This record gives sequence, C-alpha cells and structure tokens, in this order.
Amino acid sequence: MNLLEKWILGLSGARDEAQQKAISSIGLQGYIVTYLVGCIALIISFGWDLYTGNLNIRTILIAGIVIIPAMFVMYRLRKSGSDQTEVYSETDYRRLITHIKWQVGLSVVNFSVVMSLVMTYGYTWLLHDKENYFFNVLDAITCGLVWGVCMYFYAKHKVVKEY
Amino acid sequence: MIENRVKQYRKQRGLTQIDLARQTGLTRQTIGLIESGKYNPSLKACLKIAAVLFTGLDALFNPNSFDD
Repeated sequence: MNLLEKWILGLSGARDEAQQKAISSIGLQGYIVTYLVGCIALIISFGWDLYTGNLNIRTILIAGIVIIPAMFVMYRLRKSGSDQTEVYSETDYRRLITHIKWQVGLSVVNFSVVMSLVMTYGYTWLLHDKENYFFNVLDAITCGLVWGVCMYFYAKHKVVKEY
Repeated sequence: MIENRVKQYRKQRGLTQIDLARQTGLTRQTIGLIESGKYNPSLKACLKIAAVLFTGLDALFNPNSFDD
C-alpha cells in the first residue's frame, strides 16, 4: 500500500495479503456507496436549481465529485484489462452478444420509462411548466435509444475474441 | 475454498499460529483464516508456509477441494 492510502485509511505498519484484499474489497464498496450518495445529492441539487431557475456552483462541484472518480475508475479498469471479457469460440461470442443486446434493451426501456416520468412530472413541476406528454416521452425514448446504442458498442468493445 | 493441512503440520512442528505468522510475514489472523479454510492464500504465501513447515505444497493443500 502506498503512503497516501495508509494516510487516508489511518493505518500504521504493513498489511499482509489477506488484509490488503479485505481493504480493496471494502474500498470498492465504499466507492459504490460514495457514487450512489453523490448521484442522489446531484439529483436533489439539480432539482433545486431547476426549481429556483439558477445553476449553482454546488451542483457543478457535486457533478465533479461523481464524474471525476468514475472516469478515473473506468480509465484504470480499461488500462488494466479487467473490464474485458474473453471468449474462446464463436458460439460463446454469439451467446454473449445476445446477452448484451437483452441487457441493453432492458436498460433502454428502463431509462425511457424513468426519464418519461421524470420529464413529464418532475421537470414540468420544477420549471412551473405545462405538462407535454408527447414531446417528453419522445425525448426520453430518443435519449434512451442513443444511450442504448452507445452502451451496446461500449459493451461490445469490451468483448475480446481469443480464437 | 481449498482444503489444507496447515494446522496439522504446524502442530507437528510445535509452532503456534503466532510463530508461523512471524516466520511467514503474514498476520496471526490470516493464518487462522487459512487454517479454517476461509481464505485462499496466494502462491507466494503458500510457498512461504510450506518452507516454514518443511513440506511441499501437495502435502499441505488439496487441489481437488476447490469449490470455485
């Protein structure tokens, strides 16, 4: 462990391998909790900004707290190759791609439904605007599809053919 | 987890968990976890334990008991 990690965790002395594994596992859980809390804080802060009609520095800082560590984790995962899935036959590859398609499809539906509700009821209430179901649902589906296509290619990119 | 005979060999050598921990550079807690089969040690740790107990890896660990 480096000095920064020891300093942040308040550790003195060396850790053995079992302790290091436990610390890594707890650290990952801690990151996930931080990320989720950050997302909730961001939604609340952004909602308040919409309500008051003024984008606050607080919201931008919370967004930075959520996005910067997430980018760091994604970059390190990508560099280490730990996010890659290796396949050893065409059958396995096709099975995995089908699985990804289902996963992305469900995410698109989920995203579209949640965003439709948020845009129709949440934003219109916060912005003191009139509800416009058709355009809100259309926007949500379009965003969901764009997001889904990006997610599909990103997930597909992480599959490595080893045959 | 993997079955092992670390406890048996350690007792044969007349060592306590603390003695084994000191000689292998692990903690007593980790030795306890290894002996109870709750932690799979790294190859480096296995080799250190085998060296301290004057035995081989095949005698200490049973590879047929992997459950993952």
